[in-house]
Amino acid sequence: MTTTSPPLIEVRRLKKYFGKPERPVRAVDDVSFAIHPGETLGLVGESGSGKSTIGRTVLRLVERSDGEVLYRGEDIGALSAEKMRRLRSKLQIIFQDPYASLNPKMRISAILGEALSTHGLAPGRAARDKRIAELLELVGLRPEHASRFPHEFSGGQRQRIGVARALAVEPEFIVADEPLSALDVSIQSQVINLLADLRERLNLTMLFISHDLDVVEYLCDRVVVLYLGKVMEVAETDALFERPLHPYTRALLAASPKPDPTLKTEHVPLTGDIPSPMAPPSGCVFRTRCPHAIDACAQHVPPLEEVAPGRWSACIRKEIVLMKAAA
Amino acid sequence: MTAPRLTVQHLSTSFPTEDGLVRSVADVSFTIDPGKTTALVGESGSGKSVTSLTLMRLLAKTANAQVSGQTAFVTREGTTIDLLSLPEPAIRRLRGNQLSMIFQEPMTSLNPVFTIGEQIAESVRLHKGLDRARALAHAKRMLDLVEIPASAQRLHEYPHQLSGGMRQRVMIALAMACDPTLLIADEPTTALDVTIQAQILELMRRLQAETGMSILFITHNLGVVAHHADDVVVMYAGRVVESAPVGPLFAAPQHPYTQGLLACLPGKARPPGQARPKRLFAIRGQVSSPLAPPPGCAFEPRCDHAIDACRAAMPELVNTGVSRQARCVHVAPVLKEAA
Repeated sequence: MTTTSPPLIEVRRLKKYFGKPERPVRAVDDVSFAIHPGETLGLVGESGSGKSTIGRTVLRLVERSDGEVLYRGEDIGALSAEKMRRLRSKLQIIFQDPYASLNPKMRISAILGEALSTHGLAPGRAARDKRIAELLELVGLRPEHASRFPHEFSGGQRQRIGVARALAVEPEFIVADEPLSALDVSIQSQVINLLADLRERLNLTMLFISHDLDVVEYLCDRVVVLYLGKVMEVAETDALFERPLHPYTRALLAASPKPDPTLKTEHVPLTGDIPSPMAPPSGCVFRTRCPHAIDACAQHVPPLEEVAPGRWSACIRKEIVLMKAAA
Repeated sequence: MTAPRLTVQHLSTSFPTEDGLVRSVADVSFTIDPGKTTALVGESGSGKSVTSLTLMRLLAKTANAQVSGQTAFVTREGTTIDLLSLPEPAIRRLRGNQLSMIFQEPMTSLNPVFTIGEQIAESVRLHKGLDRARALAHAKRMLDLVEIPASAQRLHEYPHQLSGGMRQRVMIALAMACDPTLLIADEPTTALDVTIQAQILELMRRLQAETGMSILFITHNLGVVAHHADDVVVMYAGRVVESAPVGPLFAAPQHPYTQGLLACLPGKARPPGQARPKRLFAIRGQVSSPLAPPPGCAFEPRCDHAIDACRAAMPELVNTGVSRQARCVHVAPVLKEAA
């Protein structure tokens, strides 16, 4: 899917360091990508790869350390608090844990109503109630659920409420931060279908953060693969899953077992643990676990380069990457 | 054909609560063959973990669990015993020795105030009567066995000094210390990243090949089941709804719940070379409350094939082929043949 329209969200050389400046935790280290209108971009990686921090930094829920986040060409990091508050109706988030992200003391009507009144939408009791009923129906719940409290719902229903709250303010862009990982498999597919339907009906642009590669393959148009706060590979979903180029992507795909006993995956588990983001390896951050690492990998940080149209990979062992690309 | 390592028959576990009796596990039967892995699959509340805790006799006394049923566990010495009726001192001699367990969260299942060497040594001192020095030497061998680098140094470290994957390796070393014949692994890789999960699964596979132990693998991850189980038992609302060898189960699931569970996986949605379907299959609704189970089949309210007979009574678990069972009115029973 090549699109010529300007990106809705553009992230340029984003950095987010935590802790003391002398010895920072490099949670996000020089990450760039763009999301086009209507596109769903997947952000995959293991713990500590910086996926959630990117999601939060993009929405300015945490302040970046360096770099830019452009929304329709405008750097949101430079906006005043007042302008940012108004812009928030366009940029929303769905959280991972539907148990922790709903206030247990608020009725569903208040949870959704708060989002509406903050942005001055649906003013007046009647209009507000009508909009809340619409939102509940939109996510597959019933209008009478508005008077209930979060504890009266199951995990899947709570996640639907989380989706309704994000949609209440008619956003253009949604960060979905592991929205399915707290749910059981049979409930997961209900929420996947809901997200896919709403995306189409409301023409939403999404940043979909997940560690579940199967879900990413199903829902996303393009994928950014992260490791220790850095981008390893960017590709369109089908291309990435059919022919992963970067050694880390290949290892990640091989490690995730497909639910089919007849498919034998090439079994080369990565050795070792993910290094600490406080002391990342020099050069390529993946080199300590990479089966193809050579001395030169420790010297320089490999740049993210376009190796095929729309495919970017950060690896200096071009012959290995390109051999895979040609195979 | 050798006798199964463990046979579980009609196991039920209920808990009295203020709101009534909750039957967490109801009439569960399955077997685990020597040297094989049986996976217990199900979603939250299906009774997987209660089944394993009942078998290990680890349910808290204060829970006042009501347990019924029989088990036949073949010990290392070849005697057959019933884990459920064994007196407490006898089960204590088995637990951590012939019967071991690893848990989902390696941080909370290791003791934070003892070094990992001391924790592994404790079980061999207790069960094998080794002295302190020999027990520590054994602990070091166990750390080597689970491929922990610099084991001599790690021996004296505390759980918080290790990563999640390393902690789960320590848990496995602890469980393997007395050379168990049956290892119960309750979601052992759920808290781990996929590349670490692959390492731990590979390790468990290697240890099983070397020691011939049986594994009861409790998980909700069907991808892991597909590649690491020999037999699969699918649970729903405390009951076994289907059991089969792994190949036939994935190729031709018989129970509507198993069919739905496999159909709703995004990883199965796209056959190679074809476009993604617009919608995933979804099982509608949600699991009924264990306090108010439906009168008939527990899956009936969510089932697309439900008929009146489903609401009348709970279907029996019937034999449907070689080593296959299912609990559904639509599945025709097959007379038990010489398998």
